[in-house]
Amino acid sequence: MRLSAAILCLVSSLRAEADPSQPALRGLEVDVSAAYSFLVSSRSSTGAVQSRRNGGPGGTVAALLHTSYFLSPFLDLSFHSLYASTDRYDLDPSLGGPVTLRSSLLAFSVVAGGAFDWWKLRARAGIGWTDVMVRSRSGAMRTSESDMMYFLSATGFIWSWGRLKVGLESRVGIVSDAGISFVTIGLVGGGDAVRWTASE
Amino acid sequence: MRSDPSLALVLTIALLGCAPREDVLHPTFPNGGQLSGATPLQGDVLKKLEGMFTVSKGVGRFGRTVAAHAAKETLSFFTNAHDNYAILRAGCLGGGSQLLLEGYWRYASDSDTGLLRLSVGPPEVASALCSGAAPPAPAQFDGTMGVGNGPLKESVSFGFSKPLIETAGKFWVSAHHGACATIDDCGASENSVPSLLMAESFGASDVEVDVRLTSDGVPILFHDDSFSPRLSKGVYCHGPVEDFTLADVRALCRLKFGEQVPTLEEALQAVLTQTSLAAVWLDIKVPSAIAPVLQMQAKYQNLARQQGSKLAIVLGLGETDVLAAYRAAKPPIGTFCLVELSPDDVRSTGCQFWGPRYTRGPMAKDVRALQAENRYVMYWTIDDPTYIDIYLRQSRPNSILSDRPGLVFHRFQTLGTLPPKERPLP
Repeated sequence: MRLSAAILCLVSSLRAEADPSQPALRGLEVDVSAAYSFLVSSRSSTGAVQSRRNGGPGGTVAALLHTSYFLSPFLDLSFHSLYASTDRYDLDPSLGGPVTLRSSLLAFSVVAGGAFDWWKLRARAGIGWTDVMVRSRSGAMRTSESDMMYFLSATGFIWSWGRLKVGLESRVGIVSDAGISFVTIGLVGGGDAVRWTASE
Repeated sequence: MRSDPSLALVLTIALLGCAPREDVLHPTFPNGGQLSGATPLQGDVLKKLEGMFTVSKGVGRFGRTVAAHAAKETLSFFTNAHDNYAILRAGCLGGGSQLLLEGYWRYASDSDTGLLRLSVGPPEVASALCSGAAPPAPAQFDGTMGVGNGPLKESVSFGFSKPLIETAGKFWVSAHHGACATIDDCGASENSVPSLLMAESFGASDVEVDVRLTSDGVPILFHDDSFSPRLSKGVYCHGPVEDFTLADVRALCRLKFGEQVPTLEEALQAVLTQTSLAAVWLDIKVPSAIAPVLQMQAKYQNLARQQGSKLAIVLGLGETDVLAAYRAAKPPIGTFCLVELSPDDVRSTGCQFWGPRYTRGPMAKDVRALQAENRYVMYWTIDDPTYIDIYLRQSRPNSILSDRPGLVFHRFQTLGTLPPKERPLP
């Protein structure tokens, strides 16, 4: 957590000013990704594990505003399936006795921050809100907890066709109050949905 | 590009300030120590070792004075120096000629800890106590202490200075949701049954616990409105308490040190049958808990009477919505209740206890007025020895709630500020 936040501090403290010799080109980029997530924080279950799956599929949608400044602001919405397991719990007879439950942990996040582009690479850091969702008893028990999330990502755009570009992305999410950290690896594609030249 | 090093510096300092507290060691003597084969002495014998003691060796760790306090199976020493406390078990060796105490010391506000071994002198006192007789003279404690699980190198010596002030019916040392807060790691999670059972060893005469309601209407002990890693663990233990049935809680959640989240009934059962605590203050966190908690209070208050126990089960009403729900429930006259709001709310609700937050100031005039009406005043939650002294001296309350009950015990015994003589505590 310290590392990600320190990088975030550093990036956010680097404020660039416009280069007056360059035309002020603007663009609104929209990217979507399909990813697989892994929970890297504690996965201790309180029951006897019968089967488990660390991670699961997820997806993101992000909008990024290209400016002539050093950092480009972005907004990122994501959904991740983090963990699922089937566990046996030896409950007291008054609570129904031994029971086997299938449970899952999911996260929906909204993150804002700054992105830095260099060559075909992009680094992003941000802070946002995440809803950590728990499903248990095959969905009969549903609850969630909202917390702040720290976010880091690295993207490499490998292929491009005109405005469209496709690449690989890895991201790290740290939900400190929930004690949850996860990593995702996925395929990302997108491009500038709108471009314009600023009148300055 | 222009950087702003001051922002980076401020944020870096803030991040470093968030460093988690290191894990606390709970030192133990190898192979059970010298007491491994000894018959442990019980509280009735240990009671004869109680008192205020002057520290002649070990002042750096224990300060100038310590208060010795007996619980069911332990003798504890409390001091204001470093918020230090020591909890020891006692046993007789050498055919009853030697009385030995072994255990650990710990700075409550830090993670410093170590082993402590004391022998009771003079020999005739040890022999008398081991034979169950009254000691012919005050006790003296001499021994050694170590750091962590390391060797016992530092000398310790405590000499009797005066007996303890009798507090029964006069002053309660109230322990904040058990022996300690989870973050202080005294070996048990706050609001757990083990923590309640440890509370007397930590100097408490009563305990405050937090009560919430599960989605199927069972009162449980838990402080926060949501389960989170701050107080609980389990990969699926996230979300508002009221979203979980008791079965969900039992299946998916454990408290920080692995205990079950107790139901209120389990907690009251444990307090009634396994402790000598004078009272339990039930801090009711949600209005919907009032009705089931009133039922539970009536049941266990009756059980306590039947068993000859003076245990008082006090409903804590901290918020206006909880107070409104309590009034709407029309509880029987004489139900023990505590209002944290204004003195007028205490009077209009007919409660016996006022529980003001200490940050509102000593309010000595209000305290005295309520005590004159045969009500009791319990300040919460004071952990700083300076403030404990100020409130004891200026307000002379009937109780102080603290995460450091041993510290309150030491300060009360040092200052001797008994409340004005009004109606004795239940």
